[in-house]
Amino acid sequence: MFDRLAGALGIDGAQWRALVATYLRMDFRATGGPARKNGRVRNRSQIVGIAMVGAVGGGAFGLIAAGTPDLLMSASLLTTYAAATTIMMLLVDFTGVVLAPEDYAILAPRPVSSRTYFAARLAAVGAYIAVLSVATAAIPVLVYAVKGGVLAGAAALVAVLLCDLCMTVLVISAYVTLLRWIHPSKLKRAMAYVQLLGATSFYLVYYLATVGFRHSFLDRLGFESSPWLWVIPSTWFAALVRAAAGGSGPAVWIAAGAALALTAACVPLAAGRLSLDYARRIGEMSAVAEPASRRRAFRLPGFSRGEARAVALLVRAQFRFDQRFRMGILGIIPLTGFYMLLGLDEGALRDPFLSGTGAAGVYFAVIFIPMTLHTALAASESWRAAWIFFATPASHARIVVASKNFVTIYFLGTYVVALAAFWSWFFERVWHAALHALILGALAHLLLQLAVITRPSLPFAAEPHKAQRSAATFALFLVGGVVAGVFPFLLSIVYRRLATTIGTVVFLLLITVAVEYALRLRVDEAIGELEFRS
Amino acid sequence: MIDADNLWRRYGDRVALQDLTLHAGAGEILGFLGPNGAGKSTTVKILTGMIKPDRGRAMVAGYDVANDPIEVKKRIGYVPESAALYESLSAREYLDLIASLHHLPPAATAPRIEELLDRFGLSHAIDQRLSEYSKGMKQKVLIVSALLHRPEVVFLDEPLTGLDASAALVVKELIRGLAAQGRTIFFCSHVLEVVERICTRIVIINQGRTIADGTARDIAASAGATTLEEAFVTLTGTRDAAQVSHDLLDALER
Repeated sequence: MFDRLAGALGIDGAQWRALVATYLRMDFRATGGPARKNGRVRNRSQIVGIAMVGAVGGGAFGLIAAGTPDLLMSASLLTTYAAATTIMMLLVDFTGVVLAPEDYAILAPRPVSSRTYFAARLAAVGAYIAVLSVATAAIPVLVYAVKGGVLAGAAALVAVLLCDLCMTVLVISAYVTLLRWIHPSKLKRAMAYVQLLGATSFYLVYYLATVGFRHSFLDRLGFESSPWLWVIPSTWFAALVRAAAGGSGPAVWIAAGAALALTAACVPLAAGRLSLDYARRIGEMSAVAEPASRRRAFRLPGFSRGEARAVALLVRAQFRFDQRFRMGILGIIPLTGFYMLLGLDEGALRDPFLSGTGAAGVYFAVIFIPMTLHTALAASESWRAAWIFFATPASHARIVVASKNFVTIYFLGTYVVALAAFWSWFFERVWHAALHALILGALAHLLLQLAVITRPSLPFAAEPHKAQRSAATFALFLVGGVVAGVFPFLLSIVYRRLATTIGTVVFLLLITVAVEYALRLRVDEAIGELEFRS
Repeated sequence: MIDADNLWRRYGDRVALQDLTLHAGAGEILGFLGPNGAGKSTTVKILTGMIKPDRGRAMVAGYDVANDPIEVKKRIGYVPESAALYESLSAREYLDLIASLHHLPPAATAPRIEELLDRFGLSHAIDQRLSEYSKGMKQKVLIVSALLHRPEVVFLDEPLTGLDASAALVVKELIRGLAAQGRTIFFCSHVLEVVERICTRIVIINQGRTIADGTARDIAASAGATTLEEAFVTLTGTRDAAQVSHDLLDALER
């Protein structure tokens, strides 16, 4: 029966089943990378990890749903958050989540039609997105069931699921349509900026929800006073929840109908979009090098010889050519800018030495940087090239420390200087801006040291897993939000008197030196026995 | 079984193939040689239906590769130069996937997979993930995956890479056996001694064009050389090996 139906759609049922089973099986497995002697590579399931993080994120929106009288508004925030996370996950990790570059090399000489391949890939991605959607919707479903009845609870699940699947189809369609017109290498570069936009929209939704909840403006903001909210497609899916709860007006029913119409429109839109030819073009994206411009010989004090120079050359080159790494680093920029804007009311641009210690959001960005640097440094699609660390007499510990130092100076240092320059425009005194940026930079470096101590890893030596970065990002939002809340309180004490400020700087220097010493001992012990598995 | 006429293919401004023509009949082992970047991989990709030629026509196993690529793919086996495998699968799972893609009945395929892997000395690692395999073990799995569905035409791109001496011997004998069964073998390699020994006919290409076609002896004679290796160097205009190695040693000493 299934095979007959699939055949009518031009899909080979047997091949479809075999491919979907393979893709799902691969999603639950890990492969190579550095591993401990006599130890197997850890078999971590990325799907389970991201589902857990999705459930926690959904829990926050469950709280918002419980505390917000307007069902439509809270459901809109939930569906918008779900859509934003899906879009971000797909954009940040398109080749990992949607297509694997090795697909073309393995399947192109096999008798698999483009349509069958597409259907299998779409089913596997759909299953993946569905797991995330169900996890995100789990807690809100309970809240809506209590507030609006069982039907509203069920509608919340359907709304999130359909919204996420529609976004998946739209992102995939847009991506592969662009591939038809734009050369993969150009698209790769352009995607960097699209990903920045995607990341920005993710931050926007998340922060609007939390800030809105804190200031209770969700109680005041409504679709009647702000009809422009209907323009956002994710609100149409939220209308399903409101409609299921009963007693809603025609606008809600029209929006719910629009959501279902959009879902129906996605089916033919998806058909025929993805094929092995697109897989080939995407495979080329990771294989075709950008045209290299001739560069001056690179010399940075402290990185002129040995492992330090090797790491400096590697990290610099990866930043130029490795999309994952570059986007991981550049993603910090919209985050910081966004928090600056949102924190204006809370004094993000006021001199903290004269008027309090500014908005917590800026400190959140500071926490985000070391974690981002650490995560971005660990995995790469070129992870197999890490054999070189194991085939040369280089010290693994020195490589790890050098990569930490390089990103501190090259990326964190640049960021701190830019932050100081920006603040000096707004603060009363330039040295206030410099000192404030320096202290935040020192704290960020301390956090980076702690991240390396906790999980030392050779640079670009681990195999990237599906949505690994997305999962790490979501987890960081949850933990970082709590930690950032403590910063304003601590800094208000530090900046109260000059003596405490100087004392803090000295303390930070001492603790940095102590942690650096501990880090070298720990890295020596933790990484010395690593073996390469490929 | 393979009839390629006047194939052209460009990558942007670079011409990879220009007017390439070649033929191979049933039971023939065609050695396909050329220096790096000569267009060998492009030719194989066209003949296996992975890419389309810009101009020209290629028929494999009676089907046009551009118009009927799926029919061609049903009838060919391909061992790629790079060991492209889904490495989080085991050998059994991977071969099971390939068998499913070729619509082989599972009941008949399972013992065939076990037997083929056993003959290659991989029965102990059949359920081990491919990521844990050595290069030679992966190569054996690739060879099995290319032959599992009993193809009419087999494309082998450096099939002996990573294999130990005895496994390489087995594969060479296997190639002869497959040809004796009437299958066409398209054999790409840089190891000229092997090509000379097992191929019934050899085609050498350079800069996307055919520059020699015949037996190893014919090609050597036409190039005024005594061995295929000498003929290859003469025909492709490769720099004198002794001079190149001398220059390299000089550079190392500087």
